[in-house]
Amino acid sequence: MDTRDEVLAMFLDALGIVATDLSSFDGRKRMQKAIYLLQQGPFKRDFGFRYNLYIKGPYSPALANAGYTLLQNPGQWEQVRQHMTLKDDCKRDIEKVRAEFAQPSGSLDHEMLELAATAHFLMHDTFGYLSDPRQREDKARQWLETNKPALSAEFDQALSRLRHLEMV
Amino acid sequence: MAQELDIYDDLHGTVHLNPRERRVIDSPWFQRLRRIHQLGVANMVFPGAEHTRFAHSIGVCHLSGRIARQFPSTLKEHEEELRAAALLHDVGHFPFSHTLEKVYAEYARPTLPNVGAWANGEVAGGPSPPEETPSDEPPQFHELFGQRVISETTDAQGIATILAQKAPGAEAELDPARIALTVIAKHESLLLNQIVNSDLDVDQLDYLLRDAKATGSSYGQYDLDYLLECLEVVRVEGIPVLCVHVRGLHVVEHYVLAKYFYYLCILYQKTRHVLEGILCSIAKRLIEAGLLPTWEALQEQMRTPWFWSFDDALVLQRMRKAVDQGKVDGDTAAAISMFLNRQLPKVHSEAHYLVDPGGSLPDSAEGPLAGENGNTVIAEAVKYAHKAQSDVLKPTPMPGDPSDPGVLTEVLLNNPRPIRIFFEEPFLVPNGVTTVAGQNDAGRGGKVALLETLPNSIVARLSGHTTHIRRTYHPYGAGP
Repeated sequence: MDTRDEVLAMFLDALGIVATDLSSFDGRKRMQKAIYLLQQGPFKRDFGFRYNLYIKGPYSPALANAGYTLLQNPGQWEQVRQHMTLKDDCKRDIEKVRAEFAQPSGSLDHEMLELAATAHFLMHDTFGYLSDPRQREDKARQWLETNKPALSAEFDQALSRLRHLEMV
Repeated sequence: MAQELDIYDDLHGTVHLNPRERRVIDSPWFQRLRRIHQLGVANMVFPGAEHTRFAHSIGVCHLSGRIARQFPSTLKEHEEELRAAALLHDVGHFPFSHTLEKVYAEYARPTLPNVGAWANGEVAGGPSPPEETPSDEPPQFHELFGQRVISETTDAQGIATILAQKAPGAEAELDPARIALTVIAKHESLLLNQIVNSDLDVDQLDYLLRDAKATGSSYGQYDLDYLLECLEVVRVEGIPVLCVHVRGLHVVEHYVLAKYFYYLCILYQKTRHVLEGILCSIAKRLIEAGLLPTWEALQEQMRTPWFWSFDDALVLQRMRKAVDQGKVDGDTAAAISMFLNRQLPKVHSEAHYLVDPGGSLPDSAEGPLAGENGNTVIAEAVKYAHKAQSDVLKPTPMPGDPSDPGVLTEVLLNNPRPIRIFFEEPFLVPNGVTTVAGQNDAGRGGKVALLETLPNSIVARLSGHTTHIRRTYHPYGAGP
């Protein structure tokens, strides 16, 4: 594990994502979308992972690799906890995202995370060339209605959460 | 008004361009690609490698059209966008292709915002985080420049101007911003992104064959026609995705392995690598001497007609000027002479390591310079290579090797991103490995799977392995 992996491990801890979560697809999806949101403004907790849009929303191959490294080194993850902590302002930002998507069970709502991250990516990257934010929002909504109809019904809810996080 | 055009391409035969595409290639912004070698300095190793980014870009456009016509119900409405993005995907390339791009990337690095979370001071305890955080995903500057050429060149012959004009016979003008996004795989259609920028994209489909043909090498060859025939567009969770039917498993695997051997035997060829290192070193000195633009100046000048002349010939001309006018020191002048006259360090020893997924290089592969950018070490080697021996660059013996004053310090070809065949990820990704449809026709509800999850796939067995190459070189004139 390199330093970036160690910091990532602490982020995931703060998000309530543990090593065993990363062995499941939904767990890795939670990691992908939560880190995506934290890399964006206003948080800008920037690991340098680059994302593109795919079937389950924004995805970073490098982050996926890092996740597998963490999964294969649970013991080192434990050592990281013992000698490193995150600064308070960083913890606060992570907690904002965690709280916004936490379910009563404590785990993050992976479907809402997927929808929110996808909506954000569409509005800021895919349709970012449009100068009118209203147009970007409309285009994002249309894209979801065409490509992800099952999720699109909750688009407004996702938008509301992004606004609450001051991300749109 | 421009007419349609047929161009004879030595790889694909007759390539047909519509009037807008013809205007694009007639633009000086695109004509510049005629003067940039596709394989950079490789023509000094493979004499036939004189092909250019111009021919390659037209080939990529042609292939994108072939795929679009295979799937009219899904791609017909996007065909012009797709072809335009394919045609323009390399329009921002640097002279000598990726060689000078690497040089400018070093100058650009401090300006990049993404330098790792710890640069923002995330960590309260533990060891001090490094000042610089190497990213395993440095931006592709030629793509960033390409985006700007596509969307910001608004002169009469500018790419943005041509794209935005309604062409005769075309349904509508094209939006330069959308074309620019497609080049970096950020179009709203995942299918378009896959076709232009993924592990099985039209760029690679063309250059593997083109480079193999031009170099005379067998590596990089594969069955293009059958591979295209096996392509399918499948709706995965409602989203159209490019897949390969399972009957094409062998041709996809051959393509992936062809790419691996192409990298090994052409791109990482021992002499080509030295040449590239020397050229990088020279280019830095030319920038410092004001003979090539700085990174900051380049970003401004790339929007002006000056950029039309930013090609291989300009760099060669500036090298000669540097020597003739005494604008560089003796070592750099010697390096320029070495490059132009092909008087290069020779390989002393070479070792290849195939590392398991998650593994590391064997101890004997480590050394004081292991992990450093191979180009940096070669540049240092070049600096003193014209001297028979050097007091400054002390050779470091490898374990078990006798010290040899004629042998340069270890050079590890392992660049920060060693040859990686593919990574594991049990889901489809735009830049990931090709997917393969199941036994049933996937369009009628068949299964779709990632290539590396198939139990009978050799590629799956190799997934995650990396190859590292270590070489040591003699200075020119020394050694056997």
